[in-house]
Amino acid sequence: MPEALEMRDVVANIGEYRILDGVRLAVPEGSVTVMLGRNGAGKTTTLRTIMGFVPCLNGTVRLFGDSLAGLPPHRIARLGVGYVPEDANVFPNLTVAENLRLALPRAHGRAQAEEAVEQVLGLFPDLRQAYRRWAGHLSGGQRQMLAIASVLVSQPRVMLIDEPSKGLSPRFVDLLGEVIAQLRGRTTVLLVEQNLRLAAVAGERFTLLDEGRTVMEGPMEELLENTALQQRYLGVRVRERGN
Amino acid sequence: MSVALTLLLNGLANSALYFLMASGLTLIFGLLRVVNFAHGGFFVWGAYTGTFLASALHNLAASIAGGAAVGVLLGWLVERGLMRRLYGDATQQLLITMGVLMVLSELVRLIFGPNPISAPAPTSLGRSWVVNGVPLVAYEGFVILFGAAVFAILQGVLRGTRLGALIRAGVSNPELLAARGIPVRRVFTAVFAIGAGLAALAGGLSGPWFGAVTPDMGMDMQLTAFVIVVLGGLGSVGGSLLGSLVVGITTAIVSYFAPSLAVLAGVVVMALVLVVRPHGLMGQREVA
Repeated sequence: MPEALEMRDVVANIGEYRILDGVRLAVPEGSVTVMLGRNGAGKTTTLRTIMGFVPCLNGTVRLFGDSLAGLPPHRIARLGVGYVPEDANVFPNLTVAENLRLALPRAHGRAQAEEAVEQVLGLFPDLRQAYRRWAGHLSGGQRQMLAIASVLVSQPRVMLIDEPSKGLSPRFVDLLGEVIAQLRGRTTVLLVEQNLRLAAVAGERFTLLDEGRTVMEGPMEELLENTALQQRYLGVRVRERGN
Repeated sequence: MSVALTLLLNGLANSALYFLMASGLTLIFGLLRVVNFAHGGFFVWGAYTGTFLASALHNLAASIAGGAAVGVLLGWLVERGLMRRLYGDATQQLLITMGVLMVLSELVRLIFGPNPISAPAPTSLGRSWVVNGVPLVAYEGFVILFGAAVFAILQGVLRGTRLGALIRAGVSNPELLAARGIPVRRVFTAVFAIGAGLAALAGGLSGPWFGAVTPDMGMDMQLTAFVIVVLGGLGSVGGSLLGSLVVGITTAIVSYFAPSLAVLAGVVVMALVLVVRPHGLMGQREVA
C-alpha cells in the first residue's frame, strides 16, 4: 500500500540557490509526522515543493502513489493536499466565516457545508465567537486556529502545517498540540515544527532535515530519547547531570 | 450658490465616469499587480463602439451594453494572449500594456479616422431645465445615477458573492488562494475582463458627456484614472470612489476658474494626500 505522501531524492532551487538536495520522506496514512531541522534546513521549501509553489527539479513527489510532478498548486490542493503556511495564512480582509466558506469544496451543498463548518468550529470554540469578525482583527493564536480550520473544513487527505506554534502563547501551543493530536487517524499530517514540546505531543514519527537533506526518519520516541541527535541537529541544549 | 451647485453636479458626473474607469484599474492592480496602461485603450473602444451603436440603433441601453461587451472581450483577449505570460515582470507589463494602448488607439484612428466624431446624448436624455438658476441636464443626472448604481452593484458583488470573496481574497494573497484549490489564473482573467468592461462602460457613457469621441481620449482618461487609483489607495474600490469624487469635483471647480490648470489640479491633490497618507485615502500597507 502506498504512503499517503512520499518524496524521493527531491532537489529544488530558489533562484540560483539549491535549497533541497536529496529530501526523502514517507508519511504513512493517518499519521502525524513532524519535520524538524535548524533554520534554513529546507523545511518550508519542502512543503512548498509538495504544493507545487517551488518546482521539483529532480526526484519524485507522490500522493497516495500518484505523481504530483508539474501540477499547479490549485490542482494539488484539489487532490486533497491542504497547506497551512507559516505566515500570511488567512485572508485578513475576509471575515472568519468567509475564510472558512472559501475553503469549502464547490461540490458541497448548503447542508454539507454547514456541517463541515460546524465540525471545525467544534474544534476551535474561539472561532465561533469571532465568526463575523474580520480575520485581520484576530489575535495571533486565533489566526493560527483559523488557518488550520480553513484547511480542515475542506477535509483534506493530507495536511501540511508549517510551524504553527511560532510566536504563540503557551496556552495556544498546548491547544494546537491537542488539536493536531486529535487529527491522528482522521487525516494525514506533515507538521513542520521547531518546538520540540509540541512535536512530542502531536507527532508519531519524525523526519530530520539538515542542509536540504533528510538525515534521519523514525518513530518520535527515537528522537526524544536521543539527546545527542537533538543537540546536533536541533540545537537543543541538554543540561548534563551533576551541573 | 447656483454656480456652486452647477459645479457640484458637473463634478459628480465627472466623478461617475472617473470611478468606472478607476475601479477596474484598481481591481486589476490589487489582484494582478499590473499597472495597466491598456485600460485607456478599452475606454476608447467602449466610446467608439457606443457611439457607433447609438447612431445605428438609436438605443441607449444597447449602445452602452455593446460598448461594455467589446471591452470585456478585448480585456479577455489581452489577458489570455499577452498578460498571462508576463505576471511578475513589471517592466514587460508596462511596455506591453502601453503597446496595447497605442495599438487600440491607432486601430480606432485607422477605422474611424483621426477627427473627432460627434456623440450626441440620446433624445430622451437631451433635455435640460433651470431650477432656481441651476441648470439641470438630464444626461448629467443619468451619468451620476449610473455611476452610483455601478458602485452599489460592485459592492454587492464584492461583499455578497463567492466571486467577490475570491477577488478580495486574491487581492490579499493570491498564493494562499491557489493553496485553497482556486484556479487563480481564471480569477485573474475574470477580473481583467471585468475591469476592461468597466473602462469601456465609462467610454460608452463619456461620448455624449463630452459631446464627441476622439482616438486620443483614452490617454487623458488613463492619466486621470491613475491619479485617482493612487489617491484612493491601490486595490481599494471604496478608495477609487473617494478619489473619483475628490478629483472629479476639484477638476470641475478648477476648470471653471482656470481651465488650463484642471489636469494639474488632480495631480496636486494627489501629491498633497500622499504626503499625509502615503498609502492613499483608503489604501493599506503591504501585508508581509
